[in-house]
Amino acid sequence: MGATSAVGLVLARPPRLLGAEPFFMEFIAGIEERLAEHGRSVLLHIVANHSAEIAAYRRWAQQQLVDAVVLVNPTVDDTRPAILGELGLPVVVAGEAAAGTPAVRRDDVGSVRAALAHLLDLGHRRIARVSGPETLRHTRTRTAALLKAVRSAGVTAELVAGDYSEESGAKLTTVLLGRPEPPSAIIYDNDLMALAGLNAAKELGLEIPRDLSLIAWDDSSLCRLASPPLTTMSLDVHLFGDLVAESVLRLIEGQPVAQRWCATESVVARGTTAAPGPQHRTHLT
Amino acid sequence: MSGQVASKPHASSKAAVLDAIRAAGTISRVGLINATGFTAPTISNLVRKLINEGLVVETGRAESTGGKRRILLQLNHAARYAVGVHLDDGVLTYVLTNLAGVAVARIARPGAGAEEPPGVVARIAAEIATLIESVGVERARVLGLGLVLPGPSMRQWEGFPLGPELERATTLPVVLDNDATAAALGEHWAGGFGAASAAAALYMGSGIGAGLVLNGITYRGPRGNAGELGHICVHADGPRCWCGARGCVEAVAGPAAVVTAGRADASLARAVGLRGGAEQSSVATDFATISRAARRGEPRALALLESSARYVGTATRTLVNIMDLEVVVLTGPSFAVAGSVYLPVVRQELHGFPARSAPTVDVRLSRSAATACAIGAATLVLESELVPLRQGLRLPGPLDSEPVPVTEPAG
Ligand SMILES: [Zn+2]
Repeated sequence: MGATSAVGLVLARPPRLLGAEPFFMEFIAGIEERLAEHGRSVLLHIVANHSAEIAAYRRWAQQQLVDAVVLVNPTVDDTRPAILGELGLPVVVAGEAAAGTPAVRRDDVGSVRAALAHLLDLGHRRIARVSGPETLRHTRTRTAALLKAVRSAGVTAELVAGDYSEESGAKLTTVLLGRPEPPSAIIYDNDLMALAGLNAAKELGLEIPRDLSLIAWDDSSLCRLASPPLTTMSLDVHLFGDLVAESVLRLIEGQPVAQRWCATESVVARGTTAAPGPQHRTHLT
Repeated sequence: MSGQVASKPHASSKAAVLDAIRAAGTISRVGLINATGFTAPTISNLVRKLINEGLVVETGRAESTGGKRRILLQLNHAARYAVGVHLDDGVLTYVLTNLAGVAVARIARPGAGAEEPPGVVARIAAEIATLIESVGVERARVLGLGLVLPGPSMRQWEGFPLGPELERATTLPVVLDNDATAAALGEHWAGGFGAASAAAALYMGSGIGAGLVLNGITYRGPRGNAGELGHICVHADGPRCWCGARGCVEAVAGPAAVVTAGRADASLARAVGLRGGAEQSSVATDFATISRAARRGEPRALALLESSARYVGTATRTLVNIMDLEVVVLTGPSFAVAGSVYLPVVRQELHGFPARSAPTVDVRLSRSAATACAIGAATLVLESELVPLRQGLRLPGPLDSEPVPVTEPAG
């Protein structure tokens, strides 16, 4: 057993968002449950920005406060794994990582295809997506997968980037719906933006799902409780945390850690997806 | 935002102003005059003091509505911190919150179990020191330690001077309270009750309780027994509760009852993956497992929880009727995992009677349900250190005092 029996996890975002993100608490609960069986804990630290995150890693390494780090939200050109390497802190990435870095991957490509297939089956041809920040690796992976899939399906997709907040979900939905040829369906990269988008669309007088279909990502209480309940892409977040914890435990014990994969996310069809309404059918050839 | 501030018996006018800023989020000096009833020179003077102490900062200007735009004030979130600890049989949860009562760090450690109190106190002190160190906060900015106490099953704690011992071990001021009341205060501090003057946090961990906040003040009752929601009777001939009475909602439908029923149903236990025998997990773990299965749509798990939710809703209706509650927030670890199943059923129990012209009750899920107790414990410190009430008003509470007319502040 290591010096501290704690595994560190830094979330770099305004603290006010944490409580609003059931996804992360469920993820952490999954890690925690497995680690607890081995007498270990998750040290969660919420910071406001990237430099505070790096400062936390340096502090932890210097004072030997954690035995390993779980890195979340991997970015394009992520410098954090290298910094953690220099600091001598073992790392498991929750998401995409460079070859050789232990990681637990989500099947973003397969999941995007599943979401699109659900909408195509219903008859949608004008599709939009409100993504998370474009600096995140999985945002780009999903974007590339969506563009490829719409091309081969012969339909169009409009992409706009949000920041996971309710504000950006509402604003971007209003922008998309204000366009001359608005989408008949919108895919959101998380639950909060989808919920805000649903409310924004209802405020514009749209009836859901008759006038607009919506798919949320990261199934949470918010999605089930929305009115109508949101159709979502559902990952077993608890199991995701559990897989991450298994990799962490192997890493701490000095064993080789292979890259692991979560199962492809499935569509949980609820009340916000249906065939496109008559106003959208006129656009079809 | 909150009309409660003017009617709250604060220990000082400075405390009243700080509380008004907290309640509003952001507020102008003119807004503070309306919220507190103080004169403009008094507000100006007190705000200057709060800014000098670093507790409050100016943060841009409000939208102009004709005339000059007003400078907005808000709490300086990083100015002070508080430690919250939830001491339970199975788990010790620690948080460090900022001035806004928002967690900036959290860790859960093995609980006290059968360990002797002196050993637990030493461990808590060491783990708190590590938590503060890990966040890199200067010790001088940490106001104190709030502790939510163990349930009645932990006999070895009876008669142990926990507060003084922890104060000695940590060199921090210590405030103690029960789980549901702390969770309610945390919700109040973070703004989860909005402007309601009668609100409750329903706390579900391995048991069920309720914390009451009336006119912005937690109400504990003369002996600390107010809000014992778990022991509201929902079935006169029901099973015997550990408290000795029959048909308490906790005994009929609490998490332990749900888990017992789940374990007894072999096909359900197999379908959701409950481990039996020596491998058996805690009530909290098994309740979470059943809840996740219900959310995935597993029909037997869902039926089990919905049945529990109906009883919880029935008990909640009793509490709402007695206290005339405007807002009920569901919180605690069990609602964190099962809230989306319970919430619609509880709402139905409260709203489903159109024949009676009862006023509506707003039922919500807490935004920090999973860590509500520890966060609430930390806000005990924030309240007692920053916005203390006049001596003697804490217990039994202000129920007998005439409510002051509420003025709605401009902010
Ligand atoms: Zn009882």
